[in-house]
Amino acid sequence: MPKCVGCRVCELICSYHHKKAFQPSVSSIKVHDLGKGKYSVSVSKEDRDKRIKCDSCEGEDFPLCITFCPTEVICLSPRGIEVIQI
Amino acid sequence: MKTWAPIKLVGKTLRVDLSDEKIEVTKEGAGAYKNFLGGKGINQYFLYKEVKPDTKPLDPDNLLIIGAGLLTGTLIPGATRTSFDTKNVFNGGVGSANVGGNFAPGLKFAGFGNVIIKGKAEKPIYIWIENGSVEIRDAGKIWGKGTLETTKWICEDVGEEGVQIASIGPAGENLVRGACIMVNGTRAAAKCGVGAVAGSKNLKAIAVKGSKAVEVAEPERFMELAKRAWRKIRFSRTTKIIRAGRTFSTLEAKNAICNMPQRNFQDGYMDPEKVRMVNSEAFAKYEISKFACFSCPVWCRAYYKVEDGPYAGIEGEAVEMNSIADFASKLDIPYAPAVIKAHLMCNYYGMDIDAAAGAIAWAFEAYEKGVLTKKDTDGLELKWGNHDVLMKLLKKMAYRESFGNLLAEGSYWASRKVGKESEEYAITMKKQDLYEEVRVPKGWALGVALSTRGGGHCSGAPLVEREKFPSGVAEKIYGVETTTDPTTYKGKAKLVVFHERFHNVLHSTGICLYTSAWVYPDWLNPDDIAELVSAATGLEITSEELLKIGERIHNLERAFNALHAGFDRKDDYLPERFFKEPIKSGPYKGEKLDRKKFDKMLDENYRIHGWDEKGIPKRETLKRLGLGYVAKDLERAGIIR
Repeated sequence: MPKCVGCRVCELICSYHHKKAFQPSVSSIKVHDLGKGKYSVSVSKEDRDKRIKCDSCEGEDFPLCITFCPTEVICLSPRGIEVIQI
Repeated sequence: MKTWAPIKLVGKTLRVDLSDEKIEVTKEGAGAYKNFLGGKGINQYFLYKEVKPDTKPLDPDNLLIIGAGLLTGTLIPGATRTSFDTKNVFNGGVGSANVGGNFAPGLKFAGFGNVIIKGKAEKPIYIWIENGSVEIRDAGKIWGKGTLETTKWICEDVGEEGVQIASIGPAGENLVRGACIMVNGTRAAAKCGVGAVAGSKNLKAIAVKGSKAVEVAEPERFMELAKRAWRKIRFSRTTKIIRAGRTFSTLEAKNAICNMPQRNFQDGYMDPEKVRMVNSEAFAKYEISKFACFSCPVWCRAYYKVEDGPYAGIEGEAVEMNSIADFASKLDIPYAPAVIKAHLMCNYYGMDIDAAAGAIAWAFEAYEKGVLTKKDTDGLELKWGNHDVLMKLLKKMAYRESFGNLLAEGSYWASRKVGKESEEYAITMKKQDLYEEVRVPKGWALGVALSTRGGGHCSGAPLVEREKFPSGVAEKIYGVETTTDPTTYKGKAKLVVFHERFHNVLHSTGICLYTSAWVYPDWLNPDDIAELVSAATGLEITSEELLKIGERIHNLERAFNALHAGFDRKDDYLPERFFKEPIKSGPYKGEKLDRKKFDKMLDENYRIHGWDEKGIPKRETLKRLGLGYVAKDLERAGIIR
């Protein structure tokens, strides 16, 4: 099953959505390096530590992180954007 | 309303003088990017301007320059690479090493594009860059440690996660000629002895973390183009192949054109049985995960673990095409766990695998011929296929221990010490050890011969001589009628000229060769990149103009080599073995290089470049490229009249 490969394009496109700039430190979505080529991903549901809360890409046709993710681990859910790695 | 300024993409320039402990931040990059883009281009611009010809590579006055590509930090697929530029430790000419991983994005998010390091610290230090603040910190506790351990220690020392760290290991500290710089202990800025230059400065590492923004001039246009580029790479045929089999997906195809350095280039063909033991399928057994560099959908990296056999318990990120060529073919060790082990050892010590295998394979052949005996080799029997001996020699080499001290010089300098005709099988270009076999694909041969940094296949060598494309593709992408017959000399000089310029564009924009049309025509080509650069910078730049920047950088390097190393046509010839000894087996048995035809390729390459018959850039060529000051230097040195 598909796994996050740590490319971090989700962070880049998310920060672009919020600020029209590339600034992973403020993205709603964050990739965590677990070592040995494994990654976990978290999505902020509130503004915290300079990170901007996820607004499910309000104003866009479709959430950008989902469109860009090359392994398709980011999903739509009733709770908003979620990352599922089985 | 925010306005864009070039510095928001290019990044500031950081100057560190380790002798005086002086730190200076400038905006010089913003003045240089129009002519040199970023990354290697801007680095070489500073290197040429500020290092004198009589400075030696390990002198404090030599500069070590780090450059993030112009487009790194944005989401262009594969735009993640860092260039390290300095005087070449093997030959005193151009030194340039390129690396993936995530170091350059780290530098850009901290607000920097280039770091220029001069001088020598009194004792081991590392440089810590966090957003605008720069510190020189004590590295006494990690001097002597391997690169992975260094990475972990520095993260703790600065108390942060997600730090990008470029460090040297024992090889750099011991000034081994082939010492490299490792990013986070696993990705190598491998060539030209950049690790030894850092070691000579008592510079253990550069660590960086940032939370700033990278911005482009025309965000909406840029995003449309980036989306297209992302889709182009993500859904391409080549991406599927590389994802599955990594950078050695094409191992069988490479062997099919007898392009393997079998037993120190005694042959170019590897027994297919042996190839099967070290191909993508063979390594997949040991793979724990596949993953990617920053902003890349190809995910060509992998983490391995070995559970059985003599190397049970080893694990780490390792293995590229070069590792298989260097260890499985050049040393005739077709055993996957040994390839993983040797690669991990070189990561730890911070040593270029090409340089390590080059020196060791030379020694194996010298031993085979009786020129070296057990008396010379610390009692070790240097027999082809002996991986136990390989691991022992890697360690001796990294520490310049006993016989390792000779190996640490690289095969060119080692063979000059030993003599007894061992110079004949020191397979080097401009004194740096080669990984590239060259007898069959003539364009590849020419590109390797002309490479400004001394061998290597990422400064002019084409990769496309072995596959058929639909008609018109070769013309459209590479500017030549056809690329598909490896053995023909026709058209290859022009093919190499294209690659010499295109590679410089890639090294300066920070785009990885593994999302570029160097690998295959369905990947990013000069038109794609010209559009991206235009939208990123607001400059309207065509692909011709982009390749002209590549040409400018190339001429600058050629002049640097002439002034600093005395290089000209005589240094563009591959080792005699490739002209005298034919391939012994396989589909291209009997093939070798023809000296007259090679000479004609050199003549044509020089002519297209606007160089004289010695391969020196002509005055009018340099002036056309805005390098009038370079022409004056060459005149003053009596190199052009």
